[in-house]
Amino acid sequence: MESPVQLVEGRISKKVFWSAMAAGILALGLLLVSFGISGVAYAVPIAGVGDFYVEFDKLEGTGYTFYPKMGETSSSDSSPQGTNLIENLTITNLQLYKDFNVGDQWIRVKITASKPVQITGLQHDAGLIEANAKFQDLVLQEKNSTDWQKQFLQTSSSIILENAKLKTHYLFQKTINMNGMKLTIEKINK
Amino acid sequence: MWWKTKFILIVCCLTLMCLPLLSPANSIKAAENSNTEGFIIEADKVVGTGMKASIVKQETSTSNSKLMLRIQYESATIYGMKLTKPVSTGKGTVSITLSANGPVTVYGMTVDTTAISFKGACLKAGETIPELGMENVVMVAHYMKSENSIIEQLVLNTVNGNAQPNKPGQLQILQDLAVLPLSQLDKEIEKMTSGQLPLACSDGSIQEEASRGTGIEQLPDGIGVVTDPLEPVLDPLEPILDPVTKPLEPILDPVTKPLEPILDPVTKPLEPILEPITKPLEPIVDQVTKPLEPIVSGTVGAADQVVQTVCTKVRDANGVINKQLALELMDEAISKKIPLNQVCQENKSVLQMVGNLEDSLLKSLGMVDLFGKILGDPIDVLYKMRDKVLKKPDGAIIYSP
Repeated sequence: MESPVQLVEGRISKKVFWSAMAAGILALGLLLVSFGISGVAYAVPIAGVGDFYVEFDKLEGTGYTFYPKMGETSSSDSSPQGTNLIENLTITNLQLYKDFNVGDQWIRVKITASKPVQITGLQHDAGLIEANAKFQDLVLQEKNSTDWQKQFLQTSSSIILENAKLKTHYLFQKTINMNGMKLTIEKINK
Repeated sequence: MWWKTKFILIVCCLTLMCLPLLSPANSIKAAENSNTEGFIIEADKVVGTGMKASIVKQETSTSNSKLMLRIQYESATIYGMKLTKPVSTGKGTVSITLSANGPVTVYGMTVDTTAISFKGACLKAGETIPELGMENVVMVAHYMKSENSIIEQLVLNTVNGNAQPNKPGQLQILQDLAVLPLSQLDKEIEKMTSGQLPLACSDGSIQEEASRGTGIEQLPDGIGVVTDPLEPVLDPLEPILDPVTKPLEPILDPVTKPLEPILDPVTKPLEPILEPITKPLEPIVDQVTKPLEPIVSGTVGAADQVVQTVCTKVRDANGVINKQLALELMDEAISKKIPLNQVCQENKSVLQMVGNLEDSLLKSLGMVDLFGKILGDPIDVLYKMRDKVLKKPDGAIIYSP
């Protein structure tokens, strides 16, 4: 008795398959190569992980602005913070870390950069900044405004922070060039 | 009548619409804004050069133009500085605090203030004071600018609530000027500047003087109006002392005979105490007849001896390397421009220990990649390791097997 279903053997066009595969690999390769050569990432936000710490040996930047804001943290929907905007900056020995409580142990997820990190269009929302600071053309002023965020403004044409520790809630960079980046997860005593 | 009912309804609606305008929330909000106006600058001590004071108009958070005292310094050092700015948000008041645990050095500083209290010199309009020191300064500032600022140990914090300290009272001179019409105001400010009149002093007394100088006179408080004329003084004053009628008796007897001499006159010359030196002094030190023996031997192999000593120390300590020993190893590596794990090549066990020390320091600095390769120039890495060890307390154990 013959089977009612007839098997139809499909055929793959090798020419079309390999040309499509080659084109895909080439495109991916070009993307990775371009990223590897320039080392630049665009529009990078770090948010939604609650407060984390940023430490570095030195930050040199231009076009600095500070104003107050209310923003979300890991423990509150609305917590007082300060927004720091820096147009262009270079950070030496950058370290970002966040500690997590896993069971009865603490682990630290840390991102470090062994080479200077170059950033443009930084927005950094922090609750606390500790550093040795140098400012050029520093201005603290009040503005007559109904918008409370515009009533107090701190600006400077250049800023240098050394041996800094910043309790951070939100970080955004238009572009970041982070060569020598390393991600580590380690157990810590706390 | 339908139109009467409609009219009453419209009136009621309009009244209800206007009610929120009269609610206490508006007055509270206005009071809150007024309370959060300005930022408070506190300082234990301010020492500066080239200080100048003047009156200017400046913007605040609630006004486009307000009279203020402007203080300018060519350069100043501020000790114990703390700046507090309360901000009234829609969800309550928050405070921005900027404090410096170290000294703050500023060049070309300008501060505009409406209220100030301090201990120290007087601030006079238009006068440049070469050097000025002020203590316990508290001011309500609305504008601050500096060409260069160096803030040691800055702490910038944002917290819930109003953390501002007690504000000093508004300057009397500014209150007096504020009531003047605009046409007269500029003239008065110019007059004060050209006359170098006092604007603020630590005791506040000169403010009244400044007000008098500008014609904004104020009657002193606490003195009643004089209504009764003074009665004339008719009776002469009674003398308290009787007049001197007889001469005073002498207390000392007159000197009638000459004083007796106490010392005999010197008639013969003084006898010499030291005998004259008649023979030459005998030499104390014998003549050097043979050459000095060399104290220091040749320096060939001295460096090796140091290495030997450092490596021996590591071996003797059973691989427990403290801060001092680690620094010695690194100094040796830096001077020879070799990696740390090649300093003690003669002894394999010590070599292993030093290698382990290097690995642990490299990992803690994040200077090694996944394959164990050192990232960066080896000498730079050595200096970084040395800096890290230097930050440890004396005697701290850097590596233990």
